[in-house]
Amino acid sequence: METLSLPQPRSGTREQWNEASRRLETWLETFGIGDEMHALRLRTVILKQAMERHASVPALHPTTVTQQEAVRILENWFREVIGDLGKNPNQALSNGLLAFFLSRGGQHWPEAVGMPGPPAELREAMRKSSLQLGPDLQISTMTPREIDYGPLSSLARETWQQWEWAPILRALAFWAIIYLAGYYLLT
Amino acid sequence: MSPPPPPSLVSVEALAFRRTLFMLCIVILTCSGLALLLLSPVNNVLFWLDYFILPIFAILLLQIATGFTLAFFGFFELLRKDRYNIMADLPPPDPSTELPGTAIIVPVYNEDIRRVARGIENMWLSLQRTGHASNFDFYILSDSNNPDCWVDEENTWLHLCRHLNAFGRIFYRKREIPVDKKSGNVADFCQRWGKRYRYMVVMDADSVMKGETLVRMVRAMEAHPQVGLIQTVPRSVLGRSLFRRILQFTSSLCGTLFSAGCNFWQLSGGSYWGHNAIIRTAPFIEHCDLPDLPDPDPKKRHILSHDTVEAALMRRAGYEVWLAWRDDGSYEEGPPTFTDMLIRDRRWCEGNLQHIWFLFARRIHFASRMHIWFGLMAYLSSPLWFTFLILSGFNSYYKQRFFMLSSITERTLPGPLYKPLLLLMVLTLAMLFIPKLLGWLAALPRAKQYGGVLRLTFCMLVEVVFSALMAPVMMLFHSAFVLQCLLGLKVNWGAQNRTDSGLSLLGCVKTYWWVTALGAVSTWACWTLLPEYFWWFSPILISWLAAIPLAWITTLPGLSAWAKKAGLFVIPEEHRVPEELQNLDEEPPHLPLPCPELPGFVRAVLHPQTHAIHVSFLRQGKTADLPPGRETEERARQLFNGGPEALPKKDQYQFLWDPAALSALHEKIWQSPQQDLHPAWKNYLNQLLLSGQKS
Repeated sequence: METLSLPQPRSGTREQWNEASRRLETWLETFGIGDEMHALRLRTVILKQAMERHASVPALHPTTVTQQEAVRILENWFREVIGDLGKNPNQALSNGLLAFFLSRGGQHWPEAVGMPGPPAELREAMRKSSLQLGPDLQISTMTPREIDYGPLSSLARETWQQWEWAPILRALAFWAIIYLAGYYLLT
Repeated sequence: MSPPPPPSLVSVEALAFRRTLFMLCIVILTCSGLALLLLSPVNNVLFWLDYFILPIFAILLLQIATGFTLAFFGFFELLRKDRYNIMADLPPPDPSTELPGTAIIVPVYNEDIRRVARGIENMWLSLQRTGHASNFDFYILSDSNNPDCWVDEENTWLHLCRHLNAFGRIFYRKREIPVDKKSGNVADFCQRWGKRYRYMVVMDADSVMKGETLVRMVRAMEAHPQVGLIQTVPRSVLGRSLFRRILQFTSSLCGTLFSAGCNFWQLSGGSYWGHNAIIRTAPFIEHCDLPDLPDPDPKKRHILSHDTVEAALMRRAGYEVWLAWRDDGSYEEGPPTFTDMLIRDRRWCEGNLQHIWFLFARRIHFASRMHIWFGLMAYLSSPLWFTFLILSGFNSYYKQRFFMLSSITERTLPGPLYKPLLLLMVLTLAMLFIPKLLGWLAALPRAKQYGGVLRLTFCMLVEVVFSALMAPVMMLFHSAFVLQCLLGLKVNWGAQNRTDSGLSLLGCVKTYWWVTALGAVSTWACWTLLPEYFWWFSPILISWLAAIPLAWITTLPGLSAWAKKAGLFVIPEEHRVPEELQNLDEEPPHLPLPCPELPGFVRAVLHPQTHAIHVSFLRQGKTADLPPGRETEERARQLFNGGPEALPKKDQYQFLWDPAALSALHEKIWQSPQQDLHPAWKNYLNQLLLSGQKS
């Protein structure tokens, strides 16, 4: 029961800690932990550690410290469960979360989340889960075959490149005017 | 280089006979019509306009005669056992031999991914029932540039794989640079994984196929190594709006008829419609990469409508292309409204007009040229028809004046001399409506599946009126599309609307007002200047005047629901719904989106699980994140200070490509106290909490 008791915060205001608690609740809600009591216990553990740490960094808002603690605790837990969380240092939490989601950890082992000594089944399920977007590549090259577009292409090329449109349009306009004038004069 | 394909399945003589017969029928019908026109006493005196009208009339008549001939031969193909059915007489399946690996690829572009996933799930389960599921892999190939769609795709794919335990069998590929649109997407697949599979089945986002049909297609390809592509005839299904239901009814009634007619003359020289088709991968990779067009404008060199060209290139490489018209088990969804159909036609129009470059290209097979010609004429016939109408109007006016000045009227012309024109009208109407009648006759033995003989007949008659009303409006739009394409106005290949949410009256007025206005002016002009011909023009004038209500009424949810309840426009696939089509339009509860009320982009930033999925996708195979560039940092700052709406979708999409910047923003928002957060982020965090509590 000791882990469930929350000490009085030594730094920060009550409103600030309430806000931090709400934010943490929102964050943990997204994990889909199927056991509400355990979610509450995890929240309390994280808040307790955040309060302890906040005393050494009072300039930071309790929400900031609490979220940092939450990430640290969960990251360490994922490391304990899975072991290798990838070479990319930014990848640890996302890889852990993904494995947790794929193995349905929140539904099958809700009471184990964030706690030391995770069950062997959970470890195996999370270690086995992997994301394979595509199989191994087998590269081929696609190159268009040469195609002779025939007379239409030559005609278009010649028309666009060799014809001068301005004199043609001028001549057309001239004869159109002559024709219209003649038509109205003669009819 | 792959070895050349073995000799053809069809003899040259059979091909020549069928094609000659087909062409001869078209030519005889066209010449008969022209002869009747020239025999008319009205044409005893040819005006200068007649010299323009007659060739246009000949081309239009040729078009009508082609449609009629297709339906005519199609009807007879339906009645007999086709000798040349590529899917028939396959050797019995050998249980000891495995089917070769086949990839089913589903290119998507800002689609409703949950509907796509439902389709894939149904096909997956259908393949399981055949016992050959292990030979098929699925690929979702995304070119989506809407950030919300992209995030939803990742989530849905993951849930789908988890639900079906299909990791390593259903794959997801997101292209960073979506060059060359759908054809580029398919080519990208071929270049990465094409070698792994002997065949690939190309699907559309709304396509569904029965597992049994997929297996039969693979077996047909195995049995016929000279075949490079088999195209199925997808049945249009799942229509809810009245418009779509009428279209799918028409397609069910006449689609098979025309497909059978196509197969009659084309045989091994078929075409490709871009989806619901199986392709032999090796020759496709080797021969079917699309060349640039010789257009003087470099921006217009990419081939938009790739399918017909790919079929022509496959034929050029010596492989056959067949149409599997007799097999069912291949489905698609049609456009839900008249407007959506026109939007689709606008895209297709530009693509088809580009094919003109291939019409005279060397080493293109005769059948491929014919397909290109038909595709061109599908759109060019509209401006021709429109020109024909205008010129005929002027010509009639001049002739009316001429007759008046000559102190005679057309009514005073002796009856027998007037007969050829009436015969011509009968011939034209027969060529237009007999295909519908043949479709009705072919459907009669299965009338029960269409709701009974009475309903089938009534719906067929309503459909005739509906298509007669729709055709003149489509003529105007298609003419405008052709003009736009010729003037080089840009076309956006947007995502297709596949939902039946209906059209607003105001939206219809905005889209069709000019058609109605043209109808009103033409009615006045015709009534005043051409009273003798008014009733001849009236079907077209009525159609133009009714364009707005026609588009609006056919999407009214109440009317559509009533028609469905009354058993109108029922198709066999509704009479007994195939398992593959069940639940397709329902929300899939096993593919949940976390906090679905939030846009995908917001979820990728805020929701830890969605964020983890997204950045894991981006970090696949990478050992370290690249530091965010200055532009990305600026975007992150804008997002944090101004909420997600501070960035347009285009920039949100770009931002999603940077895992380091995205993770940094994710952390910053979660760690910031309320007072430092933009109200939008506060609101979204509250929604996350509420959504979590609800679930």
